[in-house]
Amino acid sequence: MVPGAKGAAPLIRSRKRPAFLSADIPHWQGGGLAETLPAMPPEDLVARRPDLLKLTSPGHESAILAAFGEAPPAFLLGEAWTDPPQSQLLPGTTSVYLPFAGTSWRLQDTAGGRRRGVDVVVAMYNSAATIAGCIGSVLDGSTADLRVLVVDDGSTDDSAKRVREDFGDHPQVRLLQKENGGCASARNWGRMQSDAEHLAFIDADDMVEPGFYPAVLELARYSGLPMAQGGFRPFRDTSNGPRHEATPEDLSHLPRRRFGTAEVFDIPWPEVVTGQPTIWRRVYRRDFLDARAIWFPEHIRAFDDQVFQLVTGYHAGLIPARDDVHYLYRQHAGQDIRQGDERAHYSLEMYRLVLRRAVLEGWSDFGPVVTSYFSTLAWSHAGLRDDLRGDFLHGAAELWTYMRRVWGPGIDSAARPELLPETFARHAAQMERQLAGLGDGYVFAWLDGPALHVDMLRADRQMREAAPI
Amino acid sequence: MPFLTSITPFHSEGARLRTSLDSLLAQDFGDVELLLVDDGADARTRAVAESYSDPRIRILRGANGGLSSARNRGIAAARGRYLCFLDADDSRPIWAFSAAARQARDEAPDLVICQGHLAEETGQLMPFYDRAVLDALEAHLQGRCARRGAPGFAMAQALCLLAEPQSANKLVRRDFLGTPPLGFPPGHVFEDLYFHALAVARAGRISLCPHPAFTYHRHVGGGQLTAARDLSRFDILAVARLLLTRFAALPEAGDPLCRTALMLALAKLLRWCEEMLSHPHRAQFRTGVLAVLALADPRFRRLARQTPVAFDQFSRHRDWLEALLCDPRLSTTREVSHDPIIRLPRLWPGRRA
Repeated sequence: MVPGAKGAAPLIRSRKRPAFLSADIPHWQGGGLAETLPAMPPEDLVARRPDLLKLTSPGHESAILAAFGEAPPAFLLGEAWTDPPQSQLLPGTTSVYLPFAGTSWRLQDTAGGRRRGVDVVVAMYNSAATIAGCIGSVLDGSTADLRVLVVDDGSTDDSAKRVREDFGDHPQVRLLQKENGGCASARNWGRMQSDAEHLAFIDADDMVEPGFYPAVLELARYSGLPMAQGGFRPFRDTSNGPRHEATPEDLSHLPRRRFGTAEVFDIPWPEVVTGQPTIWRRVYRRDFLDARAIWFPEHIRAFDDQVFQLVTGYHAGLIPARDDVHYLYRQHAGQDIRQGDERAHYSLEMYRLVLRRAVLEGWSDFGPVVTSYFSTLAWSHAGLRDDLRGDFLHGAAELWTYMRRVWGPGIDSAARPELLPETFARHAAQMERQLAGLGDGYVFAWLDGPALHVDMLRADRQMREAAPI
Repeated sequence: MPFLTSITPFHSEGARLRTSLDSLLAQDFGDVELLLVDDGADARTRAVAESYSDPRIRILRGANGGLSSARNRGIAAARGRYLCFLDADDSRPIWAFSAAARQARDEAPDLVICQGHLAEETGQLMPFYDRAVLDALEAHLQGRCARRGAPGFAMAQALCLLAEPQSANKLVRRDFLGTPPLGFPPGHVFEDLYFHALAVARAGRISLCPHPAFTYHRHVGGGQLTAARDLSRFDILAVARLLLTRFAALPEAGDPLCRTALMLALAKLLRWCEEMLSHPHRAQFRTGVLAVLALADPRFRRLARQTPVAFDQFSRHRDWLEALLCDPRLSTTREVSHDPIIRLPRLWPGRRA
């Protein structure tokens, strides 16, 4: 039996990691067990100025490294057991091999020639009211390797002035200004100006809990995986200050394990792809985004985050996550995705881009994208203005027909046509009749329709209204 | 407000961009704004663009979204009364702007179509591919501006539709493009025909600039999209589908001559793409062409029996198209169950794609 294990604390069995160390024993975090073992005070270690340090001190890893301050040993070996040291304690001159015991994770340098740290890109457009709160919250509890890149996307209010006044001389904040080009262009711009190994994107009207991005960055660093995720919590402004709401997702079915003081779990990509777009609570490896050529499509003026989520999700495969820190997602009436106008059609174009990408990149499974497509359709359709619904269902059915022709009827099991009115099925049936003589094939990923393009749709609608036939 | 905005996207043309920019800056027409759209350019090409400091030049920077999106960004940012496009590896003779502007000044046409040159790497200069069609247009217009409603307008439109859909071969009145403006289909290459045909079909007044106003440079060394053998060729299918769907809503779709000209121009491009495509993709491409025809307004399957002489050089394309229209897969009217999602036979039972 494990010394100190109490009650029915579940043991997570692992071949690599001794069971007694996997037990959930909170008092270890304070070093209770370690103190009972003979130990050398960190100061004595530092005084010896070792070239090489082998850490095997459950509960004391961070404290020992912190004692070395600016000059840690040139070589660091051993393993982290209960208290993974923050990667920012280590300057780039230290050679590290420090696995997190019992896992394949280890503290590693993924910088690949870039600056160690994370750049948080804020796309700012007329956000004078919220920008200071946003930037302030990112800086709160941050570490020196975090920078905020504020991209002013041609704001016409005094957003930029507010940033300059409040953070003008802050060493971690940079203000970049460009001509207006939409949120996607601002995010890409920030990325192009960044020299950091990791990237994150926050919306200018949102906030984070103190230390949010450094906490997620740790996960990204230890796992070395393309992206890592934190929790999120919607909130609304009320006269009594922000009112937080429950997180609208349930990930309790995923097995959890300890990571220092946090619990972490791995999310399989289909769950990310079928979930709500929440790209802002993730930290991305820059080399991953570059290697996969994942950008925000700049001509898509809404839902550009969804294409990003689907493609990063698929390619990341497994996404390490923690939910002890939260991104705070502001809910308000003016949110553009909720206005119910033609912009809903951007999501159609976006899914078409993903379809073509999936064919070109040989995705192993398109089912989760289809499931996500149908929930997005249902959600968009519900919020849509009445007079726009016909065109929307038409375009949606057209794209669905292409998807089906590409992947074959086997894809049907992932579809949820019952979420949509009967018109959708009628349009799809009509198209199937027209194509009846033709077989399935990847070529359908290259077909397209005006209803999948917002500008074409708007122009056609105007023409119809101007000259009713 | 400048009279003319010239839009040049650049991406990885390198030193070729210099040829293009030098030819624009050397124009003997000053009232012009030169928009350079940085489409996620490489460092070398960007350095070329940034090495110019001329008050006429404005650079718009963005990530790589493709030629169409880059041109659309140019259209959105343009301030001139007229717009034109020049690709970063082509050029214009020095009289191009003044000659085209002269046509535009007199009657404020929506569209000025220009003759052009084809330049080989050896320096040899030849008339552009559509010389004969535009000569026929010149003979038809007799130096006048074609006006909607006047006799012969449909014929002028039809000849314009047969012209090469080169983006550099026209001046477009900016207001005529509407809001949101007619642009290029984002995300697709082989985008020129879409813009060209819809602009021609919607124009109320069309002029011809008889002087060559652009030079298309053929590069034997490759790198040009026109040399691609891969799936980028499939984009022509998307462009064809978008074009036919939108064209069907215009009155021109009811005119047999215009409709036939459009189909022949399209057939020429489709056929060219098919013949350039690597063999493993050809069967799928053919399926795609048939799908475009199957989904299109049935009127597009009916070509005019009698066509003017200028159409004759398209006879090979017409034969190709007519053979396709007879394909048994097109005429199949197999009964499909009412709800395809539930009742179609499962080809791969139990398998998730």
